[in-house]
Parts: sequence; C-alpha cells; structure tokens
Amino acid sequence: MKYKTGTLILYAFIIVTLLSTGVIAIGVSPPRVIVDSMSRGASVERTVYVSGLNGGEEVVITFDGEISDWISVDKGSMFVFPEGAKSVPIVFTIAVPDDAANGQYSTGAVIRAGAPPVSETGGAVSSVSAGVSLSFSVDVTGDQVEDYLVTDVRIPDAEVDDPIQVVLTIENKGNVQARPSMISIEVVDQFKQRRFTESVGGMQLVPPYTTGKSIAQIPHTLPTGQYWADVEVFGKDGRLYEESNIAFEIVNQDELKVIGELQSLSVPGVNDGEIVRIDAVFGNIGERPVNAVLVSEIYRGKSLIKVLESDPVSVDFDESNHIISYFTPPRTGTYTVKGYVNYADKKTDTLEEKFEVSGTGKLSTGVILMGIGIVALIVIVSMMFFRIRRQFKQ
Amino acid sequence: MEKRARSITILGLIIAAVAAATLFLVPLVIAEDASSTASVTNSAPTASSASLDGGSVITLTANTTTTVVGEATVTDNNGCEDITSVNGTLYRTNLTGGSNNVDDNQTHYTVNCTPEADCTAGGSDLTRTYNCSFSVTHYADPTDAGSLNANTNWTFNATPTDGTEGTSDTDEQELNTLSALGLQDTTIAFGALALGADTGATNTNTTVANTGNEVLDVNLTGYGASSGDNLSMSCTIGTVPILNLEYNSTPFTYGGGIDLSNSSTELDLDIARGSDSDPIPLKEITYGFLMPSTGVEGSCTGTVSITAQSDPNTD
Repeated sequence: MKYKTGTLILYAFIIVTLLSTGVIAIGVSPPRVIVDSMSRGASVERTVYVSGLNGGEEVVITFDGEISDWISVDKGSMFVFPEGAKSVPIVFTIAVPDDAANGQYSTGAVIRAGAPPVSETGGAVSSVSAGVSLSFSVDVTGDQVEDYLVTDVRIPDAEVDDPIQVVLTIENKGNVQARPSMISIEVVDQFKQRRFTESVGGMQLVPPYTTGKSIAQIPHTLPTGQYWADVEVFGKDGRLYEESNIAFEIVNQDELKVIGELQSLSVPGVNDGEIVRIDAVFGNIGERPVNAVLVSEIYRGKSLIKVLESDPVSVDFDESNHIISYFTPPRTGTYTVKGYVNYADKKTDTLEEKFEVSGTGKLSTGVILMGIGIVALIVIVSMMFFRIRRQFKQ
Repeated sequence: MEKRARSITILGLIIAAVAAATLFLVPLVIAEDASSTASVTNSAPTASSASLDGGSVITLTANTTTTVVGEATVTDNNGCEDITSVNGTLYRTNLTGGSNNVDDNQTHYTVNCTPEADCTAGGSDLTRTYNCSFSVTHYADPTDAGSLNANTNWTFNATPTDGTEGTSDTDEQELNTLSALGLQDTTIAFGALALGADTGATNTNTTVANTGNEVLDVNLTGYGASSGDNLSMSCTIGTVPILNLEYNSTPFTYGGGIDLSNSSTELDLDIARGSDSDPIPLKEITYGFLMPSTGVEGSCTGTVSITAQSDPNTD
C-alpha cells in the first residue's frame, strides 16, 4: 500500500493530537442489523464488533424500541473492554415470539463507553460520554423464503482411495434449510488433460439464518498428483450460484490425519412432556473434512431406553460444530445420556451427562382417569353399604 | 551407337557423383556425434482458489488499520520455482478501472504477495500458495446493506508473473459499515457563574472526530445525577434543569442554542468520513449554560451523552 508522505504525517499528527488530549472513542460495526424473512418462533444470532476503546473501560448496552424484549445479548447490558483487545464481538440473539404478527419491526440500541468521572472542581462542568447507535430491523413473514449465498468453495487435499470433497460455505439468509441442488466438477491434470467430469447433489442442509458448510463427495480413481477442478454450483432453478477454479492434490493413503474429538455434551433438564435438546460440540483436529453423526444412548436408571442418531453434520478441518439431537422422555425421573460421535469410520470418546425430567404439577391423563375410577368405586361401595345397612334396619 | 555411348557417359557421371558424395559425407558423419536440442517455451502462471478474508465479511476497526488477507494458489507448468511474484489488489468491485486503478485508501489497495514455503524445487511441484496482506484503513468504503455502495462488494485480485504476466483469479466479500467517533474533550467546563448568569456569546466546545467509514450525525442527551432525571447538573446544593444547557453546531449566544433534553435528539453535523487528504475529519459542538437564579450553590456536575448516528445519505 502506498501512502503519500503528506497523508501519513497528517494521519499521525491527528492521532497523536487526539491521544494526547485524552480522547474518548468507540466504534461499532456494523451499526445496522437487518434480518429479513423471519418466521414466528424462530431465532437468529448476529455479531457486532465494538472497537476503539481502551482496556478496562466499561461498555454499556441499552435498548429503546418496540422489539427490545425480543433481543438478548451474550455479554449482558454491561461488560469491561479487555486489555490488549482491538475489537470485541457482541452476539445479539433475536427471538421472534410465536404470536408475532407479520410485518416490519425495528428498535434501536446504544453501545456506550462509560463517562469518565469529572475531575475538575468548582463551577459548572459536565463530563462527556461517547456512544454509537445500533439499529435493528426485523421482517416477520409467514411465507417460506429460500435465500442463500455460496460465499466460498474449497477442495482440500484428498487421499487416493477417498472421495474428493468439495466444501461449500453457505450463508443462509432465508427462513428454511438450504443447500445448492447440484455441483458440477471438471478435473484436469497438470498437462491440462481432462480426467473426469461429475455432477452430484444431496449435500447437507444449512439451517436458516446461519452460515455453514455443505460438503459434496466426489468419487474418483485419480493417482497421486496435482489437479485442478472447475467447479460450478447450481440452485434449484438451475441458477449458477458460484464458479471457481481450484487446485488440489491427491496424496497417498493415510497421509492425511483424521482426528476428531467430542468436546462437550450438554443436556438441560426439562419438565415432563417437554422435548430434550442434546447439544454436542465436535472438533475436527485432523487434516481433512469429515461428516459427523452424534450417537446418544439414553438410559433411565440403568436401563437403556433409546439410541438416537443425529443427521450428519459437515465439519471442516480446524473447525468445531454443534451437533443436535432431540428426545422426548416418556416420564419424570433421572436420565443419563452417553454420547459419542461417529466420523470417517472412527468413533470419539464417550461423554456422559445426567438430566432431570421434573413433574409439571399437572396430572397426566392416566392419573386423572385412575383418580376418577377410584372416586367412582368409593361412591359405588358407599351406596351399596348404605343400601345394605338400610335393608338390615328394615 | 551414339545413343548408347551417351547413356554410358550419364551412368558414369552418376556413379562418379555417388562415389564423390560417399567420399566427402561418410567422414563427415563419422566425425560428428548425433545431438538433439529443444528449447522449452515459457508457460505463464495461473492463479486459482482466490479467497478473501477466509470467506468472512470484512469488519474494520475504529481509528486504525485492519489487516485483511487474500490467499491464492498459483500454478506454473514450468515448476513452482519459476513464479517470480504475485501482485495483489483489493478494491471496491464496481470501481471504474477495477484492479488497475491507483491506490486510494477509500477504494483501492495494492501489495506484493508473500509466498508460503510449500514449493518443492525440481520441476515436479507446480503450485505455490501466496498470501496478500492488506492494511485497510478505517475509512474504506462500506458495501453492506444500508450503505451507499450496498449494491457492490470488494474484490481481491491475484495476478501472478514469471516474467510474463499470467492469469488472475478473484474473490469478493462484503465490507461492513463502521460507525465510530472520538471525543477530544472529556469534559465541558463552563467555569464559575453567578446565580442567574449565562455564558452569553462565549461557548465551550467539544471536538468530535469521525473515526469510521460513513458520514455521521450525533444524538445528544444528558442528565444530572442519573439517566432520565430531567436535569443537566446536580450541584452541592440544588439542581439545574436539563434545558438550561444548550448546544449547537455553530457558535451562538445563549438562548439561541438547542435545549438539551431527556430524549436523545439528533444534531445534523454531517461529519465527513475519512479520506487520504483528511483521514479523521473533525467537527465541533458548541455549548452554552444558564445558572439558575436561586436554589443552587457550590460545584455543579452532570453528563452529556454524545452518540454517533450513521448518516450515509448526509440528510
């Protein structure tokens, strides 16, 4: 980058001037959070970065507007800017209530650096605090909207006997799960000789309002060496979403490490009749992407009552992903989940987590019917008793 | 008979010619070894797999530069060691002239890319990875929704050369708006005022710097002791109503400013975003103050809250 000398001097002068007079500063990026096509009951996370503050300064977040109560903040309403940080991510979760009407909603927030204490004494003096406005705009709709972008296409090196994996990064901006319908690939060698062409579909779906990976598996019979692929990504309507020319290598079998780990398993307690969400985090610390499936063995006491298998989730190397399974407990009590992840013909260690299913205070239908039956029996026995007693008296 | 003699003469000449050729050429062939020479033509390098910021939206940092990395794989069929350099450009996609423009920190950056140590010499390894690291200023053009250039993106272009300029590859990303301000002054001091006196034509100023990449207005509100208390100051004895503190974007005589209020109110400052000639544009807010005529004594303190409000359309 070529700065003009004059620009550099001016820049340096202004920064030094600002710093030397005890500047208060804050920056927010982006200052607008726009979410289109949200469904009722859906939630979405958006990250905003705060910068420009000094370590140790307090940051305060306040809301003002019609949908303030739809929004929660991972850092709460106040946090301290860490020492040495240039910028800090704040994650806002926007949850649309189940009863929200279709329409456009908005609210405002201010992210503010705390006002320094007034050091001057005597006379009238105000301290100054600096903040940045942040706007939220949310469109709620009852329609199903498919809207996604393919933001990156990559082909990691593959082993001779394993399929080539085309890794698509998909930013799903719609309110339904999304994936391209087909990818087409043409592979050439270093002599520009075409080795094969292939079209495949059926990649993993990316959940709404998230950015995720979807991996296409391409079988091949290529020997080791360097290759180049022309990749085209198509949507449902035949629309070309992305085209890329990508270099990759086929390496000897077992040259790429495949290592995965189950990093956490969490299962919150629920009330009777509610669905349990089993949330596992799988880390791929190997050298190639894998498809990972969470296997959850569910025990009540010592009895195995259910084995669940999640949908496969694509996990790129050097990345971690959540894998979710759902389960409806049959009744109250203490349950244990033993979870592990199957990936690339391997299995992680097993993690164990207990959870409680509590009574809700409401009686189940069975209990109610039993109660009615007992009352009816008491009434019948009582009537018979009084009738017999009356007959004896007569 | 004469015809026969001519034929014999021609035959004799042919035999003599062949014999002469044999005598001269055979020693020549014996004296020389057989040799073959071939010059390999240069194959221009080709960039592929260009990726900008790891596929993420670019987010800038207030009042400083942010490192944005582009990566590309370069193939040279003469061998990866034949690649001499890779030129990286990062520019607003819809800029007329594209990657060939001169550098301007709002719209265009150029770097020489750095090779990774993944090239094995000897001719069998044809590819090498290059990283292009751009120091992007806080005032680079935003392209996200709601910004002036929302219909475009930023493009990373990698052009390799091995003496001959090769084939480029590109990738695009969004660049987020950064709303950021710096306040040069941490206090607004009106000094000692008599009961019932105001600041007249003498204003106290706060300098506001735009340290982001979009035009800014500011919203102002304030309080005496706590937010929403309808005061501008709280004194050793008594309090001062919020509307006793006035402000404006230009100098004014007390009474001609805008009353501070409990609700945040926009002041149309239109502080320009930075440029190479003025990286951090500044504007001033001017203040005036009226001390109540009764009911206060001692020191008075309060807080004025200044909030940056993005104003891309300068309205």
